[in-house]
Amino acid sequence: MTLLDAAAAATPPRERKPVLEIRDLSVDYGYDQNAVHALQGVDLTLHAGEVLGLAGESGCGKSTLAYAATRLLPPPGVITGGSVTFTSARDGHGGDLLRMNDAELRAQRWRDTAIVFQGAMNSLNPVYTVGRQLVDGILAHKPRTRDAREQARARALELLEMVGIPKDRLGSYPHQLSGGMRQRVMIAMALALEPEIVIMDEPTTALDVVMQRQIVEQIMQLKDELGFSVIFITHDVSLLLELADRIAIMYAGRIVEDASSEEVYKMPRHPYTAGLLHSFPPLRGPKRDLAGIPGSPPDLVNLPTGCKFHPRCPYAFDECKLTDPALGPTRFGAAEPERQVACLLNDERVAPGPIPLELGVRPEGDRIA
Amino acid sequence: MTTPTSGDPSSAAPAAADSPSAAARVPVIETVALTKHFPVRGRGSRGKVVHAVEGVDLRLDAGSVVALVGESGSGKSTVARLIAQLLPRTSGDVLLQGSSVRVRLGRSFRRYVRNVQMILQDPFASLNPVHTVGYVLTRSVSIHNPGLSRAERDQKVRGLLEQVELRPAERYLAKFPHELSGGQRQRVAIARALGATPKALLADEPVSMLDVSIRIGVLNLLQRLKSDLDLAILYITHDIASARYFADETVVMYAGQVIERGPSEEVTQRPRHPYTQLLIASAPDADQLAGREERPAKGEPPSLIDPPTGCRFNPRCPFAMDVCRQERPPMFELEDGQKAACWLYDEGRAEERAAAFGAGVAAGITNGVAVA
Ligand SMILES: Nc1ncnc2c1ncn2[C@@H]1O[C@H](COP(=O)(O)OP(=O)(O)OP(=O)(O)O)[C@@H](O)[C@H]1O
Ligand SMILES: Nc1ncnc2c1ncn2[C@@H]1O[C@H](COP(=O)(O)OP(=O)(O)OP(=O)(O)O)[C@@H](O)[C@H]1O
Ligand code: SF4
Ligand code: SF4
Ligand SMILES: [Mg+2]
Ligand SMILES: [Mg+2]
Repeated sequence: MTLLDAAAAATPPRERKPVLEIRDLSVDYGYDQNAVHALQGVDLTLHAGEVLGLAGESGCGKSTLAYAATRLLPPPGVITGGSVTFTSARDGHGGDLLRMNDAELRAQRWRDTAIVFQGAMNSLNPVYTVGRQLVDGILAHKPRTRDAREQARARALELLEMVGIPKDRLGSYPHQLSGGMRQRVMIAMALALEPEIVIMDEPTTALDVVMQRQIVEQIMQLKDELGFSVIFITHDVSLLLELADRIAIMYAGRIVEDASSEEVYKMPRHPYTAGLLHSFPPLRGPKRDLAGIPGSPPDLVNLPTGCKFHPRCPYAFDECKLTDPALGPTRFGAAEPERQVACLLNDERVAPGPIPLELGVRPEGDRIA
Repeated sequence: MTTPTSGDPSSAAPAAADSPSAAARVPVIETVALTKHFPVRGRGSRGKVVHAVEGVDLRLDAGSVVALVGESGSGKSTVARLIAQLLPRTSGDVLLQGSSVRVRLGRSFRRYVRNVQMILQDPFASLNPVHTVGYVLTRSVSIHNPGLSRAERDQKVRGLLEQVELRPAERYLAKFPHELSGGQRQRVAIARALGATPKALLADEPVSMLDVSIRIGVLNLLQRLKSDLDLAILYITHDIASARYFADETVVMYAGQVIERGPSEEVTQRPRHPYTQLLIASAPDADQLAGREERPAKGEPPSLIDPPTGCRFNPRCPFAMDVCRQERPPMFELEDGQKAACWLYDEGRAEERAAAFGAGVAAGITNGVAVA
């Protein structure tokens, strides 16, 4: 889906069924005062059929969110609060994943939500063929009938074909495949049980742009054919602008902006979002000034007071050192009900005067290229 | 190939190469038909080689940045390592200020290394974790400038930190690498390289491991150093958009060979080689969503052990002709200093060219003149 389609789809707010609702989710790594507060009160909703992009600098908590939301968080990670509610768009079953017992979780995992882990293409077992690994993966979730292995093999072939790998590669070992092919195998594995939600953590980061484009197009096509929803995690906002319907921007374990791709691109509301957009040299069009963002990402053990972005924020004012802004409506309020931002500039009670030009593009009328 | 002293990439004047002054100016580094074949190990591969780099001609001038782009495995790093003399070449030549470099040992090698410094992708791996920033820089300065007094040396170390915008210098001297952010670490690595007062920097993906928000800062720094210190910089990257911004000339490699080159603005805005066109079309760009051409990119990078005959891109090229499968295309010189190794620019192929690019576009493209 392109920006234009997204715009067309977004204007009359169509009925959007939430399939995954993350509420007030917090995660620490470790316990006592040395705990890393990797996620703090994250709210995020994925709707049926949607591609939700999750972007932010390295270490801001993107993978942690993916693991916590699927209950795959490795120790010393601890979920300290919140809920993650799955509601099937197909038959309405579901519940709070954080309160499910092991048996319920096992039934849920891969069938309802599947995940393609960051760097997964390098985690294929080198001593088994990819076919065997696919078949074993499928069998692990199937009842042990007599012809289960045969069926799993047939399904593996089908999956490989679906992700554009020739059938005769079933007998290949991982090292005989290119990075792009290995990544496709991982995607095939995630799709094996026809999940409703697929979380992809940096699925294309290790690949060059040509391969990245092939894989992204493949994912979008499969999404349309099979009808799943996607959380797509990457640090590359420019990629998300193209493929995601909505984008959530993370900073220091918090969501700081949540809006449609088009809105993020044309009228960012958070200074960090604006900074990210100015960090990418545009390949086409006129050259423009590139600023980047001064300073470096914060230390999660020793977070700044108030707004976590204030040491790097060009618009910071006194209140920013004191108050940690919550994710809420923008300064334009009801004119853009579908978007949220966590920045005190949007709070008229404390903000010092008008919103800076760069962050204040009006929601109506200004939709110019 | 570019105006040597200008800081503005867009003023890179391709014609300068033909003007007497530029021709007279000796490039800092030049490679001539640089080639590297790696032997393949393992059963049944006797005599086989990986054709990693073949016939690469590069010219690095003082005060200019040349970007080397191309997909993973196309040979970019190998070119840098050959220039840095970290690998012996199979054939071809590397010239430092006009004289061939055939040293690998001893004093003359040290002299070469002093002039040609390398900056690597991973600032985490390239700095020893047990040494402070002060120690690392002092060592670099002492090795390359023996005979400095202690005070002179300390002053130079401070100067290096200032140069890479780590200010105030005092704050960084006692820090260990793990106490620095990625961008700061990469700045220390650059400062260490500058300690040798080099004439050329070979930067192999110097910002790929850094956070997007701080990449621009390091690239701006490299560009400033290029003008301030009249450095010749080779900038290796996957990110062709950054080449547009930071390099005067862009050189595109495919499967070990240079397939297109020219002023960065020309190469990125008007790619001529079908592979460069694919590369540009694949790059994410929010501005171009509506206008993206559907030219499905199929296929995998070729084997470098048994590379395709003729043009190495032919198995993936939507325009491949018979000649492409038989003969390697020479470099054709096009307008504005751009060059492309593609048979479509051969004289007498105007028809094929029009079929490939559409008549309108092709009309604006003249025949190329084979130059290599
Ligand atoms: N096992 C762990 N123990 C302690 N801290 C951890 C652990 N795993 C992650 N962290 C910290 O939690 C924070 C969030 O990490 P996470 O991997 O979720 O980031 P990310 O946004 O996915 O980054 P990247 O883009 O580099 O993948 C980081 O600051 C990280 O250092
Ligand atoms: N020491 C070596 N022995 C054998 N083959 C090698 C060696 N070093 C590199 N190669 C091969 O040479 C080719 C070029 O590798 P190189 O690292 O130069 O590519 P690159 O363009 O830098 O790729 P990337 O963008 O992934 O860094 C690859 O096929 C690689 O596998
Ligand atoms: S709250 Fe203040 S410091 Fe934080 S992003 Fe907004 S203006 Fe900047
Ligand atoms: S020489 Fe032939 S195969 Fe190679 S890029 Fe040109 S048209 Fe394509
Ligand atoms: Mg991650
Ligand atoms: Mg490399």
